[in-house]
Amino acid sequence: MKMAKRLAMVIDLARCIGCQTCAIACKLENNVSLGLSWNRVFTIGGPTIDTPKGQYPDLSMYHITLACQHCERPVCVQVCPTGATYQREDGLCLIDYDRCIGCRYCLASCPYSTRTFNYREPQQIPDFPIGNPDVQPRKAGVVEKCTFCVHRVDKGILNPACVEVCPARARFFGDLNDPESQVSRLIAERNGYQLLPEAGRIPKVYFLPPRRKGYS
Amino acid sequence: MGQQRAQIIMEISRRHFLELAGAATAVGVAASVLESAKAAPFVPAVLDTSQAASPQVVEQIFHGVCAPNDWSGCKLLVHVLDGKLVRTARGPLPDSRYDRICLRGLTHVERVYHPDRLRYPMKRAGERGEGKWERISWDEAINTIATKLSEIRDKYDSKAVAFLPASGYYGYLNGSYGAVIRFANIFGGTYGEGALDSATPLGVQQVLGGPYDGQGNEAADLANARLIIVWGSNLTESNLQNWHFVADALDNGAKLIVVDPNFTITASRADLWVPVRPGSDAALALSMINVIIEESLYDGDFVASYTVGPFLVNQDTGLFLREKDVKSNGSDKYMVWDSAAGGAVPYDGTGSRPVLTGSYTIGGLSCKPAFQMLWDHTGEYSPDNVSKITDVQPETIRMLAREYATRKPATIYWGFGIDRYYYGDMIGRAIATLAGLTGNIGKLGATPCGGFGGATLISSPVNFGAWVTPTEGRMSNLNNLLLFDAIEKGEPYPIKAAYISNSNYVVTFPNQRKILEDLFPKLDFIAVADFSMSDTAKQADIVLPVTTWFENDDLVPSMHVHIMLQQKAIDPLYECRSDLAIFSMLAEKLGFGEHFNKPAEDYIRLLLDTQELRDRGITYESLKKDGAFRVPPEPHIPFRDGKFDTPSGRIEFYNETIMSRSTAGTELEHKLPVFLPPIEASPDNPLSSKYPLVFCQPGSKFRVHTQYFNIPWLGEIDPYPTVDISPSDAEARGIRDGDAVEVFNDRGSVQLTAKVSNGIRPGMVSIARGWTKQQFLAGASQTLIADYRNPLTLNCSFFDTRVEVRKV
Repeated sequence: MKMAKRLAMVIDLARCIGCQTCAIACKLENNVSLGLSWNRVFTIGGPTIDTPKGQYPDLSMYHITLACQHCERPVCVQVCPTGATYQREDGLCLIDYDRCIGCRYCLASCPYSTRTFNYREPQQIPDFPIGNPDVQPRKAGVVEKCTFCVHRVDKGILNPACVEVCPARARFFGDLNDPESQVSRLIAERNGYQLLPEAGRIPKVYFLPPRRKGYS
Repeated sequence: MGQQRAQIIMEISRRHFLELAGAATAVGVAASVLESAKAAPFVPAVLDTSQAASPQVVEQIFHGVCAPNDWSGCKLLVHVLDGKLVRTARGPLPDSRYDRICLRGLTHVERVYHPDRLRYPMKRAGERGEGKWERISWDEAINTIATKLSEIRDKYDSKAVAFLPASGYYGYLNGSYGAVIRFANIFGGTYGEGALDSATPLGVQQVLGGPYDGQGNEAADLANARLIIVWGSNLTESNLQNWHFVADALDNGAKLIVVDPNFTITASRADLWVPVRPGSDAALALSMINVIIEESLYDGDFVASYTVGPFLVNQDTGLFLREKDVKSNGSDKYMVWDSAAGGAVPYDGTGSRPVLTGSYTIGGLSCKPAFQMLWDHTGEYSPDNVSKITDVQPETIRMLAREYATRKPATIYWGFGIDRYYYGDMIGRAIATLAGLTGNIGKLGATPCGGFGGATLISSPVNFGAWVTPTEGRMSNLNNLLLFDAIEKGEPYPIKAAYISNSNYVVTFPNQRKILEDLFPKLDFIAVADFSMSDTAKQADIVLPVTTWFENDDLVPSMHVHIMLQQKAIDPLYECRSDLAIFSMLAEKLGFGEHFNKPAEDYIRLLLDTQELRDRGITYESLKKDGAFRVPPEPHIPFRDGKFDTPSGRIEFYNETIMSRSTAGTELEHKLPVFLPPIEASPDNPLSSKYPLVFCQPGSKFRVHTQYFNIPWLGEIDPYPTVDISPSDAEARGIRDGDAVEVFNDRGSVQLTAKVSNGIRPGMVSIARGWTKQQFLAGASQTLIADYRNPLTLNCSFFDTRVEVRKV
């Protein structure tokens, strides 16, 4: 299928410091329940958060963030028995919460493990809805995940919340069909790469490699 | 690329498994309702606070500021729906390079509506700290406090009442430098000041002059540097708002060097990480000076023109030689040795060509240029010698020195990791000296104090004096470490009551056991104003519930170049009242209500009422539209004119007199910067056999000091305190990752979870700052720390601490 747009995200691992701001911004913007996360930050290094690999003082560490990859050939759409998960003309993979029956085939099939499930009613600290009021609420028994902030996209707002807030200025959003877009240029110039390309799903989240460091 | 990708895939696969395994983990928070979420149609918001009349429910947006003490002060847009705070977002500043928000600034909804917020005034119903409370009215609370304060004033002196704000909030009205100072000035109370973050700044001031923390280029200038040396700062966590400037510099080809004992996230991004022995930083810097002079890498013209380097020092007195010393009726002018004239001449700025080196006899007086003395002095700090002190290879020290002296412009971005030792002033003096020798100061991209220059908290154009001193200034300032003595021993005068606001005093200051067991019992009365039941509020006789930042109007300075308006976005919750309102009520009861009877808006107008701001058209009305104004002209680069606010007007790496915060301690006065071993953390300290591990408590991105300690979203990622320990030290003690352990010394102990990390220097352990007592398994980390006081600096030396760890 030839897409009208191919909206994509680029994350510059040379700038990302694993600060978790994107993760929290996502929770606030989308009123994501306590206990669930659409966007997570991982340390590439030691076994626990913010620890390096290697032996002191020969150590290394960097961070990546992981959310829905909005694949061009999304397996979640293929396995969904009700058509709740679907792909839009602009490439966004979304969930119709009213059609979702909570079977979680999509969770099992996603190579990136970015989907979450409401085992119970969503919970948050204030007893009223928070975040962006344009975001569609969810209920117990449905799957949810990153939407590329579709409510913003549909209003013509340039960036998803995680891109807007990134204090490292490490996140970018745009249309891959436009070769002049910032995301297209960054991927071309900085050897942007995708996670698990061999899964064959053609993710639309790209990573720019960490900086080549040192004096040699 | 392939290998890297493989690593990520492996990582994801592993996490994937863990994630599925833990998917049903419960979160213990009361269920809430979402039914009303679809109720109101959304209309695009406008920056106007008068939209409530709209027939539709409108998301109103207010100007806000996130202003805890984290060098940040981020401009927010505060979104309100139906009278309730629903989100905080990054706000626009006049200088958009400073637009930012971080993870903590995005959690205010949880903070404002936290179930643990204090809701009404309470009085103690049991013993102090027992946790038994009785709800009381505001009338009773204010009457009780006013009565107690009056009694103590009448029995002792008004100074016996101490006002103890730390740095919880920057607002001019409700913050640590706000109404509390106005009140204390009228009442005549004591204001607990300093003792925090103040040793290294004193050292910098000693050399460069100027106000506390006022010597740096503005943060945005980091992008202009070709070399950034981050020294004792994990800025990717503690000042993460500044990282993007560093990243810009790196994009432009700059190099990043990080000096830190531990492998921080910042260190992981560096071209060179220098793993230095804790507390030995001054030796490293002095060795860099040694290399720079020995290898003639210094900027001789700069040293001659802008430092005391050419000034002759009388070797008998240690004082600069003046014309009057060698000539009757001579002037006070400094003498230099003029190579052209072949003799000593008074330095008058032009004409003379002063030498920097050599040894001279003038009128029978043996003299040397200060630069020569620095050279001689740093001879003992050769890389070979200093390598033994710092555990850094001599070649690395040389490389560090060469890089700093040649890859210009170079910025040193130091953090308070180097300030936390007993002699934390010396590294400040050495860093400022490095800048003077290389000319890395007063230029774009070159400063010895990168990161937070131009802070409006330090240097502000507002009418602060008129605001905090409505009558005569009767407040007495007392250093917070000296204040310990005032409470405990009545020296220099007794303190009998404490009014604590904007501070979690018990967790902020060192030696918690002493505070709780020796100091607080000597206080007749303690009142605490806070918005949650902090470890400090638990010790109060009266607890007052204060509003959060978005429930009041305020004017807020920052650690960047702007001053911002904080608008009242929501009504105060429960019975909470602002600090300003509380002081108004107290003032009225104490008979000076006329100084506190105006609305907040009037005081903001008073603060803005200066010629400079009037000329710039900055008013309360303009701020309601713009939300903020930039203060210093762009770019803010101090010392561009080559003038320094020191006795000589130059960079004084050699000092005739040493700044001191107390009258004691002359034996610590060194005219040139020296390395003095840490008082406890030093490897040859006798305590090292009993307590072999050096303790540090770095800042964490999940808290600002003790604030945000109970935020659920942050707790999902960072759920409980850990002591980070190296694999070798853990193994030697039979400790595995996740074990419960006790960290202890003679002063105190804390039990918590061990986190084994390759990034921790063997021989060190680290507990991130800011956890409260209830979050530890037992004890508290702040009990481990001594209240040592270097009489020059009077600064808390939190990292000059030894501990041992054992499995429990």
